Amino acid sequence: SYLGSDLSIANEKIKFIQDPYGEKEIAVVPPLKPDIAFLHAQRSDAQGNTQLWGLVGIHKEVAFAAKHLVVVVEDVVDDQTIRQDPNRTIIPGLIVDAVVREPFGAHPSYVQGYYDRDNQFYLNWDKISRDQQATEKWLQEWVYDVPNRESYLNKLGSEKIRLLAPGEMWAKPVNYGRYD
Amino acid sequence: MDYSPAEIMIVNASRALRGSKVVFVGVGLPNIACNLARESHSPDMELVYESGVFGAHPARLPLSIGDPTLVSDATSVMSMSDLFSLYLQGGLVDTALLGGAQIDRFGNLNTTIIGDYAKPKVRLPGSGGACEIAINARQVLIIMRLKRRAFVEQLDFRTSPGHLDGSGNREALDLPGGGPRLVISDRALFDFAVDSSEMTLIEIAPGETIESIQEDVGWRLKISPELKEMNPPTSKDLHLIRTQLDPDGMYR
Repeated sequence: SYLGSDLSIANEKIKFIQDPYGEKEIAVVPPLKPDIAFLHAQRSDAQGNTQLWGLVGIHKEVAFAAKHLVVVVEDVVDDQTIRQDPNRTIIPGLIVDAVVREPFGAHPSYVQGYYDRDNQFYLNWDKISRDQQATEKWLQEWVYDVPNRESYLNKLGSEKIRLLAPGEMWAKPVNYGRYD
Repeated sequence: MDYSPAEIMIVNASRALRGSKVVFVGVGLPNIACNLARESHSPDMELVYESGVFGAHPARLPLSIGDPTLVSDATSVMSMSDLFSLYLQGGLVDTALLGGAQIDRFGNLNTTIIGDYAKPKVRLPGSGGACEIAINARQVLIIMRLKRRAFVEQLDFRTSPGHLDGSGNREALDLPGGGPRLVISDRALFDFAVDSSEMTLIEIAPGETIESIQEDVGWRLKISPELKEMNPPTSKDLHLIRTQLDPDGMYR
């Protein structure tokens, strides 16, 4: 709800309508419809059936709302692997336009079970982003002068990548059962 | 024993969390306060993070609500939509911890802008989940440093409703949660009067006076007849914070 907040004054898209089932007013907002969305996940098959675990945030909603969807994954796996654990498939290939295999593609953010959040990067970024010149210098060095992800990772260095590797914490496999 | 402003807020927040089973946590001081509560008097407390975690057991101090340590060893992980609708709007959150850049005498909070909305002097992080949390949590604990520019007569923007304009307003708008119960600052504690829902000074830190507190509050303060001195943090609390909960001193 937005009752009692100034947010609805600042954002005219927040509207209040009569609750059709009651006396009071309720807040409504229009749906977001992105033209294109890019989502990062642990794995998908070649058709884009995508599995993710860890914080799932608003991934599913974004995926289904967008007109076009690109998933970027750490691993491309065979469809059998996906179908062994269907509860983990958040995004069906049906709505995926393209799959990009890009290990470590979420850095400086993290992928649950694959690599950690690069907290030092974010702390540095707080300082860099306060200053126009420092921001431009960073963009030049880390975005414009880096031709592809591979050179980004080379620049980042294997020591950094090693430091961001998490320890292991496996879930027990579950039995879906065979019903033939 | 010496302690920092952050440490006394953490300890007071932890004390105020006694009896809360399900707590909506933010990163930073609230996170340390909840972990202190769990280590000392409330081992069964369930931590809820707005990124979609119920029953988190973070093994390290998270710097962001998007931190994988919140997921590993948690009881349940879900979409943000499920967390806000099924848990928060479902009335399952006992206590939420919030802060802000400005607070007024009824515990309304501003985390949006300083100055005029169209031409702000400072653009703040915004609501995030705060407005929804302030509306739905059964009670809210507010953690803020006591400063004149923070405790203001008039908010520049009301992001999250507290007790609005005083008693009865929350009920009139049908806000399900109970609103702010306590304001935990580094120099004083405040609760909210039963009749008027107005912020009331109930405890002052050692070395402070009513006058020194009033000096940094932008309206004429209500003083509790049972005003007392704040209990300083115990050495056990400080030891836990410094060696275990925030060993690198990120928030000290």
